[in-house]
Order: sequence, then C-alpha cells, then structure tokens
Amino acid sequence: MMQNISKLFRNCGHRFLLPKFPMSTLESIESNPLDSELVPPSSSLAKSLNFKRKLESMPPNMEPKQAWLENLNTTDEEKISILELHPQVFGSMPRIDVIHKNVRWQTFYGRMDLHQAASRAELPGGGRKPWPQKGLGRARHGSNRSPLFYNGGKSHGPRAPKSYFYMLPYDLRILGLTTTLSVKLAQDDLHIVESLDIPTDDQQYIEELVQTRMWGPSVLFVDEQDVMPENITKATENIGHFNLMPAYGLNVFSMLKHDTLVLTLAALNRIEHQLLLNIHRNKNGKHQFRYMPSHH
Amino acid sequence: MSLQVLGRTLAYAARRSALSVQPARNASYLGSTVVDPLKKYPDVEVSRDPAEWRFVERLLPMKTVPAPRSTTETLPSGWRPTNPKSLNEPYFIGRSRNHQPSVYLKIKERGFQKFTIVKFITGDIWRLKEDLSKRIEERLGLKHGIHVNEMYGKLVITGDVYNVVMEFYDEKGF
Repeated sequence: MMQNISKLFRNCGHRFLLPKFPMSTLESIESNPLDSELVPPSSSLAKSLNFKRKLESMPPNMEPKQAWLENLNTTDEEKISILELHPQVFGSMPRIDVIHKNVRWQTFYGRMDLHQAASRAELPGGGRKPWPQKGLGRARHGSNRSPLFYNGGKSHGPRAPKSYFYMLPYDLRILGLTTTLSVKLAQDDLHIVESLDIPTDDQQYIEELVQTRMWGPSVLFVDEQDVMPENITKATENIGHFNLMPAYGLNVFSMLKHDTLVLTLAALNRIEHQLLLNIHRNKNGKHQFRYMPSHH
Repeated sequence: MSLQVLGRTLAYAARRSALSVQPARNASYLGSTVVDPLKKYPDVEVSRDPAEWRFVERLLPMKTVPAPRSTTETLPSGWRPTNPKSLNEPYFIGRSRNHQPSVYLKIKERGFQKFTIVKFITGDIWRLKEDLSKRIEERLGLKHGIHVNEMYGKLVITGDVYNVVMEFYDEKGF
C-alpha cells in the first residue's frame, strides 16, 4: 500500500521529479524488444502519432500527463496514439482526505432515517396517576409511560424523519473529481478509447475483452452523451459490474466503486474542459462584469 | 434603436433576470406612472441575427480571467509575468486563478497573530522552506517558524514577512 502511495506522489504534476516519458517515434519504441511485444507491428500506431490534444491554460511549470488511446473493436488492445492530458486534472496531488470527504458526502446527502422510538406522549394510556402520591411508601409517579417505567416511552430516542443532507463545498467537489482521475491514471486504471462502438452485441465479447486486457473485475464506461451505441448497451445489459455512464454523471464514488475507468475521447474532452473551467473560474460577482451601469 | 443600445438592453435584461429582483425603493402606487395600453408601446422585434448577437456577447460577463497578453514585460500596473528562468529552480510557486502571486498576509486576533502564507508550491517544498528561512534570518535577524504542508503545497510562516517573501519571489521570477 505504501508503494502505491509513493507511486501516486511520484506521478504528480511538477516536472522536476517526474521522469520524462520519451515522446518519441515508432522506431525507438520498436527498438526495445520488450515494448515491441506490447505493440503489434500491424497496429495503426504509425498512422496517428500526430494526434494532438489542445490543452487549455497550461501552467508554465507543469508538463502534460500521457496516456494511450486504445480501441474497443478487437479483443486484444491496439494502441492507436499517445494522448496528452492536462496535469491539473490528471496529475494533481492525491488528496485522499478530499476523496474521503466526497465519498462520505455522496453516501450521506441522500440519507433519510425514518426510524422512530415512541415518546411517553405517543404510547397508549399513561394518563392516569398509577398510585396516590403519599401513603404507600412507593416512589411518586404521574404516568405509567414515563421513561423511568418498563415499557415506558423513550425520552431521547431516534425521531423520524432525520435528514443527513449537506452540501460539500463546490471547490472540494471539483478537487475530488480531479484527485480521483489523477489516482486512476497513476494506478493504471484509466483507459481512453476512441468511442464505445463494438462490433457485436454479444455479452461474451465484452467479457473476453476485459479478461484479455486484464482490466479490473468492474469497469465503468463513460461517454459524453447519455445515449450509448446499441451494441455495447445490449452487451453490458445483464452484467452488473460493467456500467455505462454519461460524462455529467461522473462522480468520485462510482470511480472508486469500479476498478477500471474507460473514457471515450469525447468524454475526456468534455470532462477536462468543464473541470478546468471551474478550477480557473472567478466566482466573485463584481469582477465578472466588464460593464457596470451606474444604477447597479 | 441603434445596435449598441439594443445590445446593452438585451445584456442588461439577461443579467437582471439572473440576479435577484430588488424591491422598488421610494416608490408609491399613486406616484408611479400608469401603464398604458400595449398598443401604445413599440413592437418587440425578435432578432436571431449573429451580427447583432455579437453586441450582446461582448457585454456578457466573462467566466474566467484571461491570461494577460504580455508574457515578457512588466505592465504599467506593476504586474509581472512569470520569468522562464524561474522554471530552473527546484521548486515553483504557482499563481492564483487571477494570475496574481500566491503570497498572502493573514492577520488574526485583532492584530496579534500574523502569518505569511505561500500557496500553490510544487517541487521540493522543503528546499523552499530552507531558502526562505535563510533569507528571513538575513533580512530580519531572527528565525521565523515555517510550517510545511506538502499535501496542499503550502507554507505558513509566523509573523509578517510579506515583503521579504515578495522580494525573494520577484528575485526568482515566479
């Protein structure tokens, strides 16, 4: 576990500690005998090494993170191109405390406790004084259902409905998403594909694909829009641990629940753009307005 | 109605509807002008012309503060862009979302508690702590406590050493 944490630290956004990934050509990759086994010679690697992503508002001290662009149309993986990812989204410090806060928030904000213990007023009876005040040598009581009595009411018990709703600060939620994405990339659990189109709607195909590529037992496929290609929808319908999700549904809990996260290129663009916009956004109303009429 | 006035009106309406509506102040029922029949007012013309929309767009608020155009020269306001030589340091102090240096002075307890905070630090933060500690001792003759938060990339220095830190900051060119 400590090895994993140190691996996360090593992969953070600053350029000094990060070993430089050779952003090089086909020749240098194939010259290494071990690497050429991973990249089949018949792959389409040659055709789109120039696949460039435009990274918005790059800080001067940070270098982009890198990931493979893979395919889904064959069981065996084909590395199509190297993609550059923004370091503020995919290379941020692994804030485990922030991840915990997000997971806790997601677990609790919808929670509603409905259990209730009856108080002395809600129990039947208990209106009459059980025995006279004086003369019997017994303790003085006013009601059979007081909390002191066996089968009496509960004075400070659970009172329904009890809500656990709260909103985590917006910036913490943004940070949760960026941290979790960074963690997923650092731990080799993030894969980027061109699209979610698969050749058949056979369930076995997708199961074999995940098995061959040694993706985790559970996989979360994320596309930009909420209408998915027909084949993958049918193939994953009866598998509980392969789930399809639109980009707007991306959340920390789901990303941690599923071992592997698979993003389409469109989803990646959307997620990165939205997160960067909100990281750099100035939410102070006064500063937003370029033109302020005098009567404001 | 000129295009500019039209644009301003539409932008104002868009902003106004997004903000909360203020109640009318110092107004009374009898003192207000009566609303005339609708026919008396000019017709509303709905336009979908992109040329006209441009005048609306340029008045809408900006979501992010764009990076200043100058990347080499200090602007008349005193704002200085990041010097590329600062990237050779073992650490880097990033800027805020408004492209301002991330060095802040925090004053609490009616002026008795003062901290200087440096944020958005990447790289060897421990080295930065030592360098700043030395610089503060040189300038002020006293050692100041520095708290390092590696996870946040933040340094908290006890005392008001803002000017010393800013001198160091400008020297390095972050």
